[in-house]
Amino acid sequence: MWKALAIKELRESAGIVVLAVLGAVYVLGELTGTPVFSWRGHGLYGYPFVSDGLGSYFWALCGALAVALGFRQTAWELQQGTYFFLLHRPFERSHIFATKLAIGVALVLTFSAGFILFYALWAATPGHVPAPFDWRMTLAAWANWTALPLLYIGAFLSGIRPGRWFGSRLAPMAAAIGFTALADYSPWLWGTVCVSLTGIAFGLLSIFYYVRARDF
Amino acid sequence: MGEKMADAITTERLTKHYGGQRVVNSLDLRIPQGSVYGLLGRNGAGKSTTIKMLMGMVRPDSGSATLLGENIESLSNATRARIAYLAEGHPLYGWMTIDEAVKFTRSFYPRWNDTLVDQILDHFELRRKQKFRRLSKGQQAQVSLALAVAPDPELLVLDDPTLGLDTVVRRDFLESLIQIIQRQGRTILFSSHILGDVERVADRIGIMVNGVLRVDCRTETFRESIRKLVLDFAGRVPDTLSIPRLVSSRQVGSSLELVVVGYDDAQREAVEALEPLSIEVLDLNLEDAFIEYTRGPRRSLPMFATELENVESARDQGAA
Repeated sequence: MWKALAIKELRESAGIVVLAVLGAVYVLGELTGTPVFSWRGHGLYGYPFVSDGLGSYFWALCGALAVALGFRQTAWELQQGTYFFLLHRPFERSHIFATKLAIGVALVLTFSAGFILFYALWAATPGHVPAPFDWRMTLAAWANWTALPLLYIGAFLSGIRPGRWFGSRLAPMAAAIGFTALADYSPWLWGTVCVSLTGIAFGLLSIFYYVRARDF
Repeated sequence: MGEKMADAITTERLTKHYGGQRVVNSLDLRIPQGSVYGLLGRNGAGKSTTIKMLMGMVRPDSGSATLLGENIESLSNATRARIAYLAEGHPLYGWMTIDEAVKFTRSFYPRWNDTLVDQILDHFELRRKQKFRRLSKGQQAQVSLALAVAPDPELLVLDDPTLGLDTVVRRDFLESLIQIIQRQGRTILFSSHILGDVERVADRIGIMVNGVLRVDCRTETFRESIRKLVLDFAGRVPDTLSIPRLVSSRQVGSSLELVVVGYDDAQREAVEALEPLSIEVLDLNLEDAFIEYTRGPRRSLPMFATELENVESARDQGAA
């Protein structure tokens, strides 16, 4: 049943991941100076991982994927009424949601890691950038990567937590954005990791509380 | 002395509030194993909430319930595997084909009758490659039924299974349901607001009115107990009535229509004391009885399994 649940989650996330891949193709085209759309001029606009606007692209692409997946796995099921098909099965409810979370986090982290790695490998390849490349330049991107599950968990929690109205329902999402901003602006890598882990732990505790306590 | 049949479902003072409103009010219910129980009530009467509480989808505010002898708060997976639940609207993943839905559902159960699934799909002329979202409402209900009965459940809980189906599909669905579920010892609880469906399937009924279980008896008993009296008056129709077990009263011109539970000597004397020109006693079919019972301007009277002898004591219980 773990396998069946995992396949279901992967199948349901496929559409969003495909959109994210298309987005990644566009963004990587921009970053590597070979834009997808021909009306954009070719050539680099900055140095990779130094002055290329990677942070904005990263959050717009990978952050959007994280948020979309979080809502897709929770609010969509709630809206479709399919929890009534799934949650009474002879399987612990917490295990069902743990599977969702594991698949969601794995997809977000794998996709964003792939995005960073692809860009880093391109930048590291001699002949692409007229400047030296050091892998330590990518540390800031990896720090952002560790904060990415915060957004996913914030969206997941917003999708499962009951709220009186739209605004209060989105409160966990707003909190997750706050935590992510804090992690992003931390000047130290360990600071980013600490903030991320704190936010993730708090989010997971809240999710499993609502899984047990809420009415479906 | 025969062995007493265990209860498949019991609830004790089960209560649920939504906002400030009490939608299920101190529900005491006992459904013996092997019975087919129809839970009736108008929209918002608390039927679905009751079923959702039993299936663990909604948490009760107070009270307790057991399914197959286990408390719903700590229902083991082994017991869950012996229970099937068909939720209202037959929710299923639209992207799945019937075959994928069968494989997905089968993975949760230690016992699974694939032959039965094939027989049901074949009976309804459904192909495994069809996508769920491309099926009609009736076909979706049929797939849900196949998935529900394949694990050979001892207890089947159906929340308004014929909701949204047209008359022909509904009749076909119910006939198949009866054919499929009739296995010795299997218990069925289903909610509906369509009386014809209940009449066809249930051997016992419960009627909920505003969250309170007001009727819990054999289907026949209920039908035979509700009487409509039409009283004609020459002059003014009396507006003060003290008739035992009066469910509702309605003035129509110079006539007074009364709906009562049973019609015994005490009631006859009370009615005759009003001095009508004539008294007509009408039997009601189940649908009319249900409508009269649940829509009356007066609060519906309780009627429990101990039947009419105990109506008076039951009234106190129901009003609690």
